[in-house]
Amino acid sequence: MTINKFLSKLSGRAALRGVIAIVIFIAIWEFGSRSLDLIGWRMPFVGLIPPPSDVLASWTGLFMEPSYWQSWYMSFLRVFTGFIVAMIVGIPLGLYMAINRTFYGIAFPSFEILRPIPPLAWVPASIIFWPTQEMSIAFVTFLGAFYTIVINVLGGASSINRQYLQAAQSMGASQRSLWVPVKETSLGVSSYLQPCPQLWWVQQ
Amino acid sequence: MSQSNTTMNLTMYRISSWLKSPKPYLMFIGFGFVLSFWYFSVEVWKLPRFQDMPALTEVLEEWFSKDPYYGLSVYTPEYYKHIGISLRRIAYAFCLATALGVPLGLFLGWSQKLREYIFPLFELLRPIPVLAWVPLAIIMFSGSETPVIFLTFLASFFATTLNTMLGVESIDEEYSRAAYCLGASRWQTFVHVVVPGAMPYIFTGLQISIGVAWFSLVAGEMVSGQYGLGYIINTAYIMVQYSQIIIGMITLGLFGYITSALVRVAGDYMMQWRVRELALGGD
Amino acid sequence: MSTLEKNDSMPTTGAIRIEDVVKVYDPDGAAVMAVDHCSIDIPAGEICMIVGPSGCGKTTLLNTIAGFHGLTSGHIYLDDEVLCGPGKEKAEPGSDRIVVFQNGALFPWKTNLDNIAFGPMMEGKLSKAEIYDKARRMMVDAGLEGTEDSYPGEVSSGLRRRVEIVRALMNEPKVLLFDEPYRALDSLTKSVMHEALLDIYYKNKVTIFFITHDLEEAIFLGHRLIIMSSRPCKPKKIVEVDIPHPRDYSVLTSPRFREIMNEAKGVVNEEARKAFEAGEKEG
Repeated sequence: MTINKFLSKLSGRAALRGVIAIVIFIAIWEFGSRSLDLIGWRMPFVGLIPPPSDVLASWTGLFMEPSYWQSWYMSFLRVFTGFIVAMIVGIPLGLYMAINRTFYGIAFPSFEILRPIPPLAWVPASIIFWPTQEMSIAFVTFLGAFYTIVINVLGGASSINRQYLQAAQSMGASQRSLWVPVKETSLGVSSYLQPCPQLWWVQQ
Repeated sequence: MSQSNTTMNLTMYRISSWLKSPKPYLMFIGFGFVLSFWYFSVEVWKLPRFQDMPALTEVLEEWFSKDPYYGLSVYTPEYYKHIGISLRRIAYAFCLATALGVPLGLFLGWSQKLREYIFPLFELLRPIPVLAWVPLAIIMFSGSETPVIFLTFLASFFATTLNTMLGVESIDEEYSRAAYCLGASRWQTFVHVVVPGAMPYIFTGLQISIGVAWFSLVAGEMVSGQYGLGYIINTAYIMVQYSQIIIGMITLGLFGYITSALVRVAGDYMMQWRVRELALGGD
Repeated sequence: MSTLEKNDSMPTTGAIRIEDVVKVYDPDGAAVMAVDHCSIDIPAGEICMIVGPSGCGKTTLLNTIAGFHGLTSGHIYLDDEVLCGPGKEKAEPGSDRIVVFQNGALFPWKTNLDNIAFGPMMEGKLSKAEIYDKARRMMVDAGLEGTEDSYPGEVSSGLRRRVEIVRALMNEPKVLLFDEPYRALDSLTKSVMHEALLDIYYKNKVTIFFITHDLEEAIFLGHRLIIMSSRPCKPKKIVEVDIPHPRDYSVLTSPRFREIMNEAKGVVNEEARKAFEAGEKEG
């Protein structure tokens, strides 16, 4: 049933409109970047960049090279590692901050002060600190995801209806088992992944 | 005006109750932990990886000295010049991104037709990391300022537009239905219901947007700039002036926080109704 | 019809005629009939209470009259003019039929006074001064003096409901459509609201189409009860409430009230049990 829905969506009017816009975009790009040759006048901004047809040609060439796939794989590993570590550290930290008010009072202001420092600014420090290049890259990726994860966990945990927690407590649950509402915190995982690719790009 | 009086009173009340609570003390305990960990790990215990890091005392000395060894401290004009340049770039990029992104987001959220045309294209371009645009930016724009501002603008723009659009979609349908019932036209509903209704989401988006703007700015400055805080950090690393790195980082954190707070305050000012509603309901 | 005193300054406009209306939803190809050949005749100025179990389609009927979605077949007439019918399946929402929503749709970003003035301001037929004058007068009339400059988020939910009703009345509609407006209020506030509503009604006679679960509320307020069957909804029984207006809370303990209650209760319970067994979600 859902596959049918998906397929019908792909061929629907909305999809058609989206495709039209993308096609127009590519057309303007192609025309604009070749404008000097075609009509003798260089279009501002667009006229200076390589046209999509050239891009496609070199990209298909690149596909053949094993090094392309290797770098792809390496980058993926780095993003993934950083992200996983950010989850391992960030989720418990966020949950603990949500549950324990004192800990929150101690940890959160420092967290908030460190947060605005863009992860890229950590790059030099990270390179000095970590023994291998891999680790320093993963660290920066970690930072990118870490802040977002903690903030989201805090937001998710605090929105859990107090009454659920109280009901659980009255049924004899200890503080520990209250950590179970992790499902509430798995909101929008994709938003954590966003900063990660940005960061490993720098390191390349 | 009685409105600003009440808000003023509320703010004063909240500040005084914050001061009376244990919160400020906990906060300083937290700072104390972090700073002492830094101090001890680098200078006293000399832990293996930590000892190569710049020390807290070294950084503080440098930052507050009248004649800094490496040239940047709170007493040197260069320091403020770099800060000013970074701030200026942020201002241009952020304001442009907001001016373009908010209206676009509003229209994308409001008009189904427009969304069907534009959103797929938008979503294709958005995930491209800012830094990937650097070479293109350098080719397209002349000079050294414009590419940096462009990169910062780009990241900010995508964040603002997306959040604004999501904000419009989150508005309860009943509000626009009520407006239609009362005789409002589509455009009137847009102005009186959609725009104010989306405001809370818009401002959350703006806070995200300014964070992203700083992120991109630093990236841009590190790669292609000549001045600015990102440039300082990068140069300090290259020239092995490690305490400068930390000074740069701390300054970045400070101004990142201030600008974000400014956005939040602007939001609170524009949404009096929400501040008062939350004050009565929450806490 | 004996419950409506014809010589008691009843309005001449606002009669609704629902004729053989059918509404079928088509979610994912599985047709769901929400309204099944429903016919109701509501004379001008009557308070018509629609009572029925959860999810039976009463809100669908209201939404069709209001113009939020269209019908599948049948006609709805307002004063002998076609609101919607074959060829024009969806009526346009307009200020002759104003809805008071279940969860309240007062704009949180406008003050109470601005909310009330909203309708006429949008229509632009009167000058701003005239509109605000009238708004203030109506607020005083409804006992809302002093809350003009507060925001909806700052006042009690009972007060908010009253503001919403006054807002609806500003446009001088022919019909007021209530969608279980007092459902979320506690029973003490509810009884106050009932008297307030009747008070407003006596001063501004309009046709009222009121959906509710609460039998007591229905008998207290209405001229007539129309008890709907469980989904798909269709009028099952019509109960005349011949207790004379103006009414006050003493009516609740009168013997006639008990009699009418008994008459209606059996039918209502039977339909409620059917809906419960069918697992209907509240709608």
